[in-house]
This record gives sequence, C-alpha cells and structure tokens, in this order.
Amino acid sequence: MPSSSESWRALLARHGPALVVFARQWAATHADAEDALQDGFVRFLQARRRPEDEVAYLYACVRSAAIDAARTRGRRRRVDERRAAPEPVFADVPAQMELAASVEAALARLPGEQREVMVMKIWGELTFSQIAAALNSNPNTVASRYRYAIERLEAMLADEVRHE
Amino acid sequence: MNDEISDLETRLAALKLRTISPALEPAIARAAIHPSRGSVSFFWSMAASGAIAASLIVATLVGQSNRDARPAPLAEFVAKVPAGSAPLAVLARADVRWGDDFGLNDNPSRP
Repeated sequence: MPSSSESWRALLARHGPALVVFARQWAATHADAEDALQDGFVRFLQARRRPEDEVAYLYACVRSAAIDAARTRGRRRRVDERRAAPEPVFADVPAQMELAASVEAALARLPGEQREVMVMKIWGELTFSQIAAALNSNPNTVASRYRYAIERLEAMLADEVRHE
Repeated sequence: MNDEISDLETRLAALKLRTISPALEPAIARAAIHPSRGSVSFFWSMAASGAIAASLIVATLVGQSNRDARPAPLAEFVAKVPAGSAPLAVLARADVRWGDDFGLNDNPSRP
C-alpha cells in the first residue's frame, strides 16, 4: 500500500472534491465520477510500491479508472445519458451560479488535454511537475497546455459577457 | 502570465466544489481490504491457468528427456537382429505388410 490508513483518509478529504471534478471529464454524472474516484482510490491503495509523488499517482489512478469506466459505460448507457439533464460540476452556491455555469460550458469546449491540465492545476492545486508525472508527460508541455487553456477560457468567458 | 489571467485563475479557484458523499470513504476502505468477487475470481482463474500451463510445460520437458534417454525403438530392434540378416528383411520386420508386398518376410506360415 502506498499510503498508511490514516494518510489515505487525509488525501481523500483534501483531494476528493477536486478529483471528482477531474473524473467528471469522463463521467456524465456526479455519482459516476464518485464511482471512478472510488475505483481509482482502490487502485492507488493496492499499488505494490510506494510512488514518488502520491498525489500525482492518485490523479493518474483516478484518471485511468474514469477512462475505463467511460469505455464500459459508453457501450451501455450512451443514449440514456444524452436524454438526461446535465448535472452541475460545481456546488450550488447562488452567488457563483452564473460564473459556475459559464465556466462549466467553457471547460466542456476545451480540448481534453488542456481541460485535464487546467482542472489539476486550478482545483487540484498540483504543480506542473506533479501534473506531468500524473499524465506521463513533461512539465514544459503541461505548462504550455495550461497557458493555452487559460487563454481560451478567458476568451470564451469574455465572449459570453459581451453577448449578454 | 499577465494580471488579467491571474485574476481569472483566482476567480476559477474560488468556485466552490461539490462535496463528496460521506459513504465514499467506508466504501473505499471496504473495497481496498476486500477486493471484489470479480477481481478475486479473475486472480484465481489466472493462477489456475498459470498452474495448468506450467504442468504442461513440465510434462513435455520430462517426456522429452525420457525419450532422449531411451534408445530409439528402431535402433533397439536393429540391435536384436542377427548380424547376418539382410537389411531389407530387417526393415520388413518393422512393417509386416510392407514385407509381404515385397515377399521379404521369411516366415512362410504367416497369412
């Protein structure tokens, strides 16, 4: 096990909400994202050797669990999910509802490789080195994806404000 | 990165995330300690397949080494043939029908 029983609970408490947002990229509902988080966490806890960076490894585990679940679900439930109303990614806070909805829509329009970096950086608070480790990439590539994502998101949000 | 982008980052980071279900922690603990029946049965089926494959390999290797240690059947047969026998007659004893076709079997009572 890479983590002691105490520290995995701390990791879950600290990174759980951001990991659910991260998993939502491949899951249609909050419940599906939580299932992916659970599966990813179990993979993390059952790893045979201690990873160099636990948080990066945890993100990598949740990512692969979410992708695997999306593949399985895709075969079963694609039609049902299209019919279902979209579930919000962020919490229901009246003061933030408008921004949250805009960000959610803008995130959905970002390319997957930019979106995942953005979620890990902004809400997961991972460093570029950690993100690179989780994605098996290099920190410079990850940093440039992040910059592109921020620029595109900013443009999309500005467009929205202009249209209102 | 300019200030405007930093401001956007701050606004994004301030968005409140949904809380995770309280049932998630015990579910993870349960699943991590007791792997699902599916993964257990997968483990045992893989172990059984491995054991069967290993047994087949061992059986093949043991059979091979025994065959190498024993003299070849034909060589054994030839060794018992008296020194004066004709080579074709020796072969004919190994295949009676073939010997009959060529009239090489020296046993006239044979049907």
